Amino acid sequence: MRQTSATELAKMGKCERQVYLDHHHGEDTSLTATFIKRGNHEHEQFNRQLSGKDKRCFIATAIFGIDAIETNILREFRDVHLIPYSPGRMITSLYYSISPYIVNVIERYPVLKIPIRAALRWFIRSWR
Amino acid sequence: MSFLIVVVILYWWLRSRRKPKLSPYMLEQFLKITDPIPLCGKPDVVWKTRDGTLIVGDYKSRENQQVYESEVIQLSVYKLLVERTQNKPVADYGFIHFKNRNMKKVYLMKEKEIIALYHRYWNVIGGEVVAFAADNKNYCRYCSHKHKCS
Repeated sequence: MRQTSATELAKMGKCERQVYLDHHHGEDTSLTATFIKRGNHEHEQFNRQLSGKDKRCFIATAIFGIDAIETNILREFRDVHLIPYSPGRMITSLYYSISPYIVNVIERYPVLKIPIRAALRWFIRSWR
Repeated sequence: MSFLIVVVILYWWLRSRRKPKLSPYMLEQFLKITDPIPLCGKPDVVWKTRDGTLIVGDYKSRENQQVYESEVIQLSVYKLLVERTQNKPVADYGFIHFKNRNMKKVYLMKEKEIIALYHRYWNVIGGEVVAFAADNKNYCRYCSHKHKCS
């Protein structure tokens, strides 16, 4: 009996002919290469989230971008001034539970980005 | 008012200390078994519940929450791999995680069914049985064999 991977066996649920043809003629992934690349990238993100290497900062990410300077400054603020202390961790946990909803509202009404961006920039300036 | 604030703070403090319902037990770890059949795979995540039961999970980078038969097969194989390698109780269901942070509970195949499917897989490859074509013609759109397949 030969070793079979879960991914190979799963193909049986799609198309048995494909299983046969892939085995005898080789698998050509050129048509699905873009999907595979995007999928791999998103798998990595999912993995990072679960492993605690998640660089979450939902609102700042929605406003400035995932790796913007402002977002990183706010992450630094969280890691230095909030996470080490119990009340800070509480605030962070509260923030993480409500911020996805705020981000949804921001995405629905992009005009809100203007005052939030100004408020976050003011906060960053006054903290630094 | 101050009492209410204290209650809210206490609630969040207790909530942040509480053990989560599901915590990641294993992430993208390669697993391999030879008994009852030789299988291998790398589940995206294996969750651990508060009572120690393990639950397999797989991430799908799409927002459409339809679950396909191939995904149930994949998760069922992961379940068998975890069951045989971890010596811990494994739930008979798994989770499919979607891009929009939603997840769907999926009931998995039994060991006997996976073994039967494994044998059919090798029979299909050996040409010993008639290989069925896809029910869903959308699969054919991105299939590299669409010109050979009648």
